Amino acid sequence: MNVVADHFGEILTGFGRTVLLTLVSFAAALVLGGLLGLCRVAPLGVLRSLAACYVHTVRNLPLLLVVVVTVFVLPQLGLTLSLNTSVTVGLAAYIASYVCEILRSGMETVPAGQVEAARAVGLTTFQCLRLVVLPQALRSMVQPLGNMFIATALGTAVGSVAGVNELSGVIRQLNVQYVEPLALFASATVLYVALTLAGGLITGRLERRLRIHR
Amino acid sequence: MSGTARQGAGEAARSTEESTAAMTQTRPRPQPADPAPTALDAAPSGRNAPARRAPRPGPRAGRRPLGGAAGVLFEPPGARGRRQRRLGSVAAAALIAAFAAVVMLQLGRHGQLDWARWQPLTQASIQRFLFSALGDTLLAGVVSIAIGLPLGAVMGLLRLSRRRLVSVPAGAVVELLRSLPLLFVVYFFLLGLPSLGLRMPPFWQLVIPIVLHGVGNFAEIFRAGVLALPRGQSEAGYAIGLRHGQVMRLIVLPQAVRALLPTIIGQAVRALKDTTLGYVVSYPELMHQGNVLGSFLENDFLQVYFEVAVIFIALNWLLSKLAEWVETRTGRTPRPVRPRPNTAPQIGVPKTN
Repeated sequence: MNVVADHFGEILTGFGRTVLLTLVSFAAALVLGGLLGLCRVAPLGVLRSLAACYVHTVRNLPLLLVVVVTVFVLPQLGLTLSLNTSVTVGLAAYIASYVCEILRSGMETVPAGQVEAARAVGLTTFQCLRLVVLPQALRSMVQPLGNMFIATALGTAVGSVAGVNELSGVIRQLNVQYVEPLALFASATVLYVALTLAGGLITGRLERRLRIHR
Repeated sequence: MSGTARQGAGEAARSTEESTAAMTQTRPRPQPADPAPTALDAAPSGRNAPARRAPRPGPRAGRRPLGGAAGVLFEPPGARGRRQRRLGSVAAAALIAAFAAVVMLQLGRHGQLDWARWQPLTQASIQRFLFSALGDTLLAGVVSIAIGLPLGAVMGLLRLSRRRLVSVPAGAVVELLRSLPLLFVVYFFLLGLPSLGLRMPPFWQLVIPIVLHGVGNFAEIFRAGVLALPRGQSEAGYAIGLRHGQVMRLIVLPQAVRALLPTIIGQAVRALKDTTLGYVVSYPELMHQGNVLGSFLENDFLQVYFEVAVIFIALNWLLSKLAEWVETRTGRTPRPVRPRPNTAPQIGVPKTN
């Protein structure tokens, strides 16, 4: 137990990095996945196949491969970013493929009659998307997106392979140094459970608040 | 606590059900001009219809028409609209091509496209090396699913038990397994356990964490499948005097498992992807061997990883094809219980052509 007490600061710093990685990657994945999702339903065949191609490629790849290749390839493309940023990019690119599918399926759950009704009262396509389809689609997307948030949080651990010192990396290092696995891994377990539990609770609350009672 | 947790999980199950159903709704959108197929289409889709075309939104999603609002978002264009769309398509294609060109140019400038770097991949010995690694990937994947699936089913059923003494601990274990990063568990087996005196070969250091992770996921899949079944099914079972165990075994599980097969295959894809953590424990699977090969070829990582990526995409594509095939198979086999139309779950209704 001593190790945990002595190095509590380091563990917390690692945890902070995990949380930051999670939040930033998830936000980036929401933006990228949202754009891809819109491409997925766009009236232009080029955009639709671009998004479909992206989704089917990235979803079938292992996260570790995506992250390692991103970290390796970005400098080759002339983008020298910090390790943290590279890992964030890789993680966001991976999660975005799932977000895209969640958005598309969310829009598919909205009945077609809603669009027809919107058109009948004279809304333009953009208004229809913004005022009718997306608000309803978002409600059915809360839970899957919450699951993706948790998946992002768990995915950040892969960053430790690339050398980012997040929670798993810190624990690995401390364990190599002090060889006290039980205390170290237990403390990190508590932190990970707290993070995913928080994600689950927030999604649950959001979903209850947004639900329409019919 | 457990009450709210259960409720929350129920919601989760329902909403994944909804979203997966939506993802795989293969019904083409009704054409107002042609009422006959619309009516036929609508007929088999009761309240639960999408459940039978369950999960795994696989690659086939690309070709089929979009369902729901997504399918009718844009009106069929007139003459001017068509012209605009053609213009937009050309512009978008040009943008994509430009982006690809920049990427290629940059890669070329760093010498990543030189034939000398790709040439090793044409050598038979190197291909043999990578394909033997594929064998190890498959072995780890198959073993982890073979152990994780039955264990997960048992955990899922334990969590559904009506005895709180059973369901609460089972739920806690499942939630714990699901909220730990796989890599973190791998570290524990790789670094933690040996110092406690438990040393095992890399194969098990990789497979046991994947199994543990899989147990959590499979348990939730099974639970969601059981909960998604209409209540009337088990109520009918109780009404004719079956016990809880009998209801589960004879009525609920056979229907749930059928509906779940595609999801289970989706989970198999995940397990296969997870074996890449063999990279960390030095188990000779694709990712690890790719890394070894990359350093052996003096930094040709990109080229080797490219091939590894292609192998993974091909493998998972095959699996999702399998999921599709299973779906059509289960859709055609006769049901063990023959419920009245429209009131019963629509799992396994023979597809009318």
